[in-house]
Amino acid sequence: MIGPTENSEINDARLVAFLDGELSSAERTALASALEGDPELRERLDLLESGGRPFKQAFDVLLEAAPDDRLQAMFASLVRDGAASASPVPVPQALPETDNVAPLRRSPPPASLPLWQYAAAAILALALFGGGIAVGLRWGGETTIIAQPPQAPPETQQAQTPPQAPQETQQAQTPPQAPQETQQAQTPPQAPQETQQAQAPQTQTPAQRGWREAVAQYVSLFSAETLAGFPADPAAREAGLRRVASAIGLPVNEDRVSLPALDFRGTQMLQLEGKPIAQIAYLAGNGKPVALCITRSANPPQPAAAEQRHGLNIVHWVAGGYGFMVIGDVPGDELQRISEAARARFT
Amino acid sequence: MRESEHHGSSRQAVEQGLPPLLKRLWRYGLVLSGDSEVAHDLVQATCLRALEKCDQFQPGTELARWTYTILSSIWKNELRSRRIRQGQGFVDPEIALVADGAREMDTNLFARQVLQEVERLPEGQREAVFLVYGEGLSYKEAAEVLDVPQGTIMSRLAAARAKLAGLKGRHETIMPAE
Repeated sequence: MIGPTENSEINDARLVAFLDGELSSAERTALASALEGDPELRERLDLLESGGRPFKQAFDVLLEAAPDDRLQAMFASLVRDGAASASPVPVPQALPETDNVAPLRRSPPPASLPLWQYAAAAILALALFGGGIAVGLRWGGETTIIAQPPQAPPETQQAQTPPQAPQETQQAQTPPQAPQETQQAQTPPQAPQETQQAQAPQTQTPAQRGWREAVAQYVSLFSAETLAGFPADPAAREAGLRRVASAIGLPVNEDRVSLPALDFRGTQMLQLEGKPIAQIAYLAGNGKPVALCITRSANPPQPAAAEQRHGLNIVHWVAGGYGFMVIGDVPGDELQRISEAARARFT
Repeated sequence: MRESEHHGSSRQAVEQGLPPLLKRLWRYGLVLSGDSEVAHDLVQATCLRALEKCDQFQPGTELARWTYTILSSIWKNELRSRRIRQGQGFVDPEIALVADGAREMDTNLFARQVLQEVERLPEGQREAVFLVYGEGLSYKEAAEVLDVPQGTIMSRLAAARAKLAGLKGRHETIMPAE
């Protein structure tokens, strides 16, 4: 006698094997006739089928991400001077089990968290390419969910198709001195995107949509927990600052980034169209994340201007060949004070 | 004499057969550990052991599955318990960076979504899904790699599918993976 639970488990396994073409022809026939007379079983089959995904394609993306050069180098050195010699002479006997494992480089990534960087860049890209998606970043076992999906990729795509329209509107609203660097030089801020799009629908780049928009979208996904994932030890922070400084070619150190009423939490490199963006992250007194972002800019100096994007206050300016922005969910006047301090530091 | 001849050809088969498999091994390690560094360690340990035990490999049989077996057992017996921290998850990375055009990005977005769902599955289910659906192994082959009965593979896949079916379309708050 099989209990109902056990029975349904067996059924599930059988149904999945059916879906996967793993049943013998006899089993298949038997199940097919059982399905005919059993609507509940058919329903279950449909459910299990809907639990399928394009797994192979998804996993193949990971294959593309594999660090092949590094793996090949590791293997070459194993063969060259690994425990087993390259000669065809039989290895005496298996070494004691415990010695068989290659020494583990258990050290965490040096001084920074490269994966965080990757993840950040990936999320930035996500944010840019529209549609929310659930993004989980795991820190020491915790997952920080920073966005929630409106599901269904087709919908997402659709929403994406005219992505320029709303952004253009925003763009048009922005004060005239604010527009995006690349565009401004060539064309007036209003019309160009349409033209560009007509010519080459796919060439609309994030950079053309504006780095502030990109950053704002990204930072709007931040929570205090996101910042909790930044390394806390001073050495790591210092290394982060050095990395950031060399990436954008601007001296950045702890003194320079310390801003009034903000708790410095770490740095992060973002990339937009290959252009590095330094992000210096803080926690404000109200528990909200604030970021100072810096990127190279070919634009002439521009005075500070305020705007709002994605529900966040922003103060931005251009000085000395760099575009700056401070952004966060803090009152506008407070952000003004913060930005004044930042301007003083970086002028 | 025969022994050493056999050994020689096994060694050669292993040595020459491994390089094209490294990426796949890394991916398996990443799926298990959720950490690209641990994945790298796993590949290294797997290669070392494969080279040492190459005389156990029958040339002409599937090297990939043989090495998966090694990797899986190293993970379960030696590495899993030694993890200092849980990985960042294998959905990180690298992935979206590769893409430039919006089209590719869409594909990657979708892949990401699927990987995130897979990532939240318990290890046994995740591994079965990876080997059968990702690597295309038959139930029988997957069972051999994992050294479990075939029925275990079936029930893990069924549980995974049931779970994913339940998740689909539900706008729920996603909880941290246990």
